[in-house]
Amino acid sequence: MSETGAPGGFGGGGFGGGGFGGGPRGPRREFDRGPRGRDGDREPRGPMSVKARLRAKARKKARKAAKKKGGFLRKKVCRFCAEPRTGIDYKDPKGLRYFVTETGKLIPSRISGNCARHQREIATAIKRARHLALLPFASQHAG
Amino acid sequence: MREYETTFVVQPEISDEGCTDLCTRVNGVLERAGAVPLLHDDQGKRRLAYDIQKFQKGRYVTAYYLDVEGKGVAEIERLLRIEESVLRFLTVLRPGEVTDIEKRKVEAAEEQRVRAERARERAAREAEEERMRAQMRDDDRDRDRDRDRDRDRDRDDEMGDDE
Repeated sequence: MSETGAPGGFGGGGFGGGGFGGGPRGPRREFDRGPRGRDGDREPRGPMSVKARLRAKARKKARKAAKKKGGFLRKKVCRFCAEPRTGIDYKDPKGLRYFVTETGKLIPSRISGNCARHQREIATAIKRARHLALLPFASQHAG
Repeated sequence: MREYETTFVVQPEISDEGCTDLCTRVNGVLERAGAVPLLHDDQGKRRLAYDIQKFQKGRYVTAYYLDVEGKGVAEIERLLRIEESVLRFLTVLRPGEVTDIEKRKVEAAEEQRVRAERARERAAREAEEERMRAQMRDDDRDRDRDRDRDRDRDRDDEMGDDE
């Protein structure tokens, strides 16, 4: 039962509800962890720490909530992990502009999709650039 | 030993000579502190994201150096603090440990050359763009003048019909 889980059965928003039947058209799943079916008959995948279990639960809850609201989830990829050659440099305000709002605030990784490590590097770079007046602390016209 | 980079913002009114003079003084201080200056990267004048001491532009220069005895950073920062023409500065530790001074020096010299080349190209391009802009401004003015003249003529013609 669980082994034949449809690709679109669980993750994603289920737009149109057409994911069942094993077709390749299912919406993209948030994490690719092999086939799965309903929760109850899932095979245990080795030991899981308490924290990891709690996190998984929270993720599941978030997915369900998003589904209810009609939103959809898409796996975001950290652009610096995807393209390892693009460096993060505080002397390059153009490259950093993408990670601040129009008013000059940092954009959270939950929106920009950065991984924790690169988000940290970006945040430091932006703060350094602000000190050197390459980026604004706040937009001149805001407030 | 460790490699550092110190970026500083110089007042826009300081001339090119004044800036090179400052760079040589920075190098002198570094050498006296037992550090090895590698290269200076002049990024030219940039618009500041916010005014500093009522200045809206600043010249960005980055100095790269190896700190051998561990006094280089303190000394360069002391100099920049005293220097009135410097609006801001920031020192950052470069990743990685440098073991071979001479090798790094050669690399830096090469980099300096490449950057100088690029700076020259940029300056040439900017001059060219500036020229183009001036040209376009002239064109615009000519067009505006022509348009105004045509409009006046058309209006005069219409008024002529009414009579």
